[in-house]
Amino acid sequence: MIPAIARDRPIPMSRTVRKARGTAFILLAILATSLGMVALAALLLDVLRDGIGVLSLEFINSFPHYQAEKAGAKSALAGTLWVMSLTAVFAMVAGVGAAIYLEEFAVRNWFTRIVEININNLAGVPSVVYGLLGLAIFVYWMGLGRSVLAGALTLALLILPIIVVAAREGLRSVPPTIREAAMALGSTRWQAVRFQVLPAAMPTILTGFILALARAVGETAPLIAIGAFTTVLFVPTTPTDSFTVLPVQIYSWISKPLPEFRENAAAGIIVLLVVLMLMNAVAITLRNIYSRRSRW
Amino acid sequence: MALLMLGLTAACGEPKGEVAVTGSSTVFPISEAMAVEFNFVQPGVRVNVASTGTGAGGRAMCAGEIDVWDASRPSKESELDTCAENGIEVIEIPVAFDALSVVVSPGNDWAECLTVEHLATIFGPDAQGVVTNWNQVDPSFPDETLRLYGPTTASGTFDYFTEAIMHESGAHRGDMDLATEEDPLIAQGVNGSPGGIGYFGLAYYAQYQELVKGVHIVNPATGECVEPSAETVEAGDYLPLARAIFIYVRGDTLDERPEVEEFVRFYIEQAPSLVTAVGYVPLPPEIYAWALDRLDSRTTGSVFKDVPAGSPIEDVLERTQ
Repeated sequence: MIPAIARDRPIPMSRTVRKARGTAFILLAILATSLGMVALAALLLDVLRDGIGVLSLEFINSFPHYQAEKAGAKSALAGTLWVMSLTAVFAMVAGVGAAIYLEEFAVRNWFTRIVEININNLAGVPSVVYGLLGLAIFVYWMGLGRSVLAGALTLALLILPIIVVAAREGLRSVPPTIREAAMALGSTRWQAVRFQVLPAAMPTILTGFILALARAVGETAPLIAIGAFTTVLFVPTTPTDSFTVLPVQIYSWISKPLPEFRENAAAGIIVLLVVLMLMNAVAITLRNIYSRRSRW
Repeated sequence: MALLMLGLTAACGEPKGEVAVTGSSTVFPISEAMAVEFNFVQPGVRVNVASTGTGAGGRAMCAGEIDVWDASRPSKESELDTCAENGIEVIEIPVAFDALSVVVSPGNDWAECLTVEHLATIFGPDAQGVVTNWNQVDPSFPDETLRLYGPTTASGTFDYFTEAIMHESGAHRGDMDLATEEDPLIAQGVNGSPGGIGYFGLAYYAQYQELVKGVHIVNPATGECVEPSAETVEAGDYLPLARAIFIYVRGDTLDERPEVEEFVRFYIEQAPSLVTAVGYVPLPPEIYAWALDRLDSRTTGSVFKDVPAGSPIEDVLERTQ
C-alpha cells in the first residue's frame, strides 16, 4: 500500500511562485495595517472637525448645562482623573501582588491551576457584569454608595485580569538564572524578587498596565451599573463623593435631541483622548526608566 | 475656616446636602436643567442627575437609594407595592407633556392625516410580513413600498406608542427597516425613502422639520385631524400621542430632608419656563398648582397609574378633585 503522504505530496513550487506568494502576503499585511491606521485617522479627523470649535479652557472649566454652549466637562474630567488614579493604585497593587505570588512563591498544584484558569477567563467577561458585581459588593455590601471609591474599585476589578496576565508574562521572561544567582549570593527569595526580578519585569508589566488603563478610562457600562451620575455640578473632593466620568458625560451629550450637543460630545472625546495620552506618556516614561536600569 | 463657613451657612438656614435624581432618559433633560438652575439659587445643595431608564429608577427608589425618580410613564402598581414593602412612599408630580410625532418623507402627499387604526395597521404585530405596501393600509393610497423606522424595544417611546396605538404595551411588528435609539437616523431614513414612515419624540420632530413631514393624527374623541405641535399638545387636542411625564419624590423622609423639598418646589415652580427651554410642552397651570399642593400636604400614591394611555389631561384632573 502506498502511504497517503507520498500520494498527496505537492509538486515543488518554483522559486518565482514562492517569491510572488511572499510578496502577496506582505502586501496583505500592509493593507491590514493601513486599514487600522486609516480608520483611526478618520475617527480622529471627524472628532477634531466636530469638536475643536467647542474645545476651550472654558469648556474644560464649566459644569454641565442644559444649553449646549454653556455646558462643559469640568466635573466629568475631575471624576475621570479621580477614578483613574485610584483604579491605577488598586489594580497595580493587587494585580502585581497576585502575579508575584503565583509566579514566584505559589506551589504548582490544583489550587493555583484553578486560580490561573479563573483569571484568564475573567479577562473575557463583559464589563457590565463587573458593574453589577461592583453594585452588589462595593455599593451595597461594603456600603460605599455611588462614590468615586466604589467606581474605582469596580474598574480595578475589571482590569485586574489583564494586569495579572501581563505581569506574570513579565516575571516569567526573567531568566531563572537571575533568581538563582541572587540567592547564591545570599539574598532571600523576597530580596531576589524585589531587587532583581521585579525591576527586570517592570517594562512588560507597565505595557500591560497601559493597555489595561486605556480600557478602563473608556468604560461606561460598569459605572452606569453602579450608579454613576450623569449631571454632577461639583468637583469631587474626597473618595466618598458622588461623581461622573467623561465617557458617561459624552454618552449623555450624544443622546440629547439638540444637535449642538454633538459638538460637545466631540470636544469631550478629545479631552478623553488627551487624558489617555497623558496617562500613557507617564507609563511609557516609567517603562523607559526601568528598561535602562536592568543592565545584566 | 471650613467649620466657620459651615456655621455661617447653617445660621442663615440654607439647606445643604445631596439630592439624587435617577430614571427616565426622557425626563432627564428637564431634571438636568432644574439641577443646573437650582444650583445657582442654592449652591449648598448638590443635585446629581442620572439617566438610567424609568424601570431602573423605580428600583433605585424602592431600594431607598434616591430622592427623586424620573418617570416617563405613571408608576406601576407593582412598583408602588415594592416601595411600600420597604417602607417607602412616593409623591407623584406630573412635570410636562411629552408627545410623539409620526413622520413621513417630504414627497408623501397621501398620508396627510392618519387615524389610530391606520397606525395600528402599519405598526401592529399582525402586520409583520403581511403589510408591506401603502395600498394595503388604505385602498386610496398609492402602490408604494412601506419603509418603517422607529425606536428600539428598550425605549419608553416604544412602550408609549404601543400602549396608545395598539392598546397593549410592546405589541409591535418586529420587521422594521430600522429600529434605533438614534433619532437622527430615523429622520434620515424616512427622508431617504419615498414610502418611509417613522415616529419619535415631538421635540425631535421640531429639530428635523426640514427633513421629514409631520403627519396629522385624527383625535378619536373629536374625529378631527390634529397636527403635531406644542400648541395642540398644550390645548389637549393632540391625542392619543401626547402623555404626561413625571417625577416621583420620596415622601416618607421629606420632613427630614428640606433640601429635597426645596428642590422639588423649585422644580414645580420653574417647570412652565424650563420645560419649554429643553423642548417639551408645559402642563396647564392647574396641574402644577395641584402638584404643589400634593407636595405641601405630603400626599403619597399615584392617581395616574390607572389612567389609560392617551387619555385627555382633563380626565386626570377630574380624578384629582
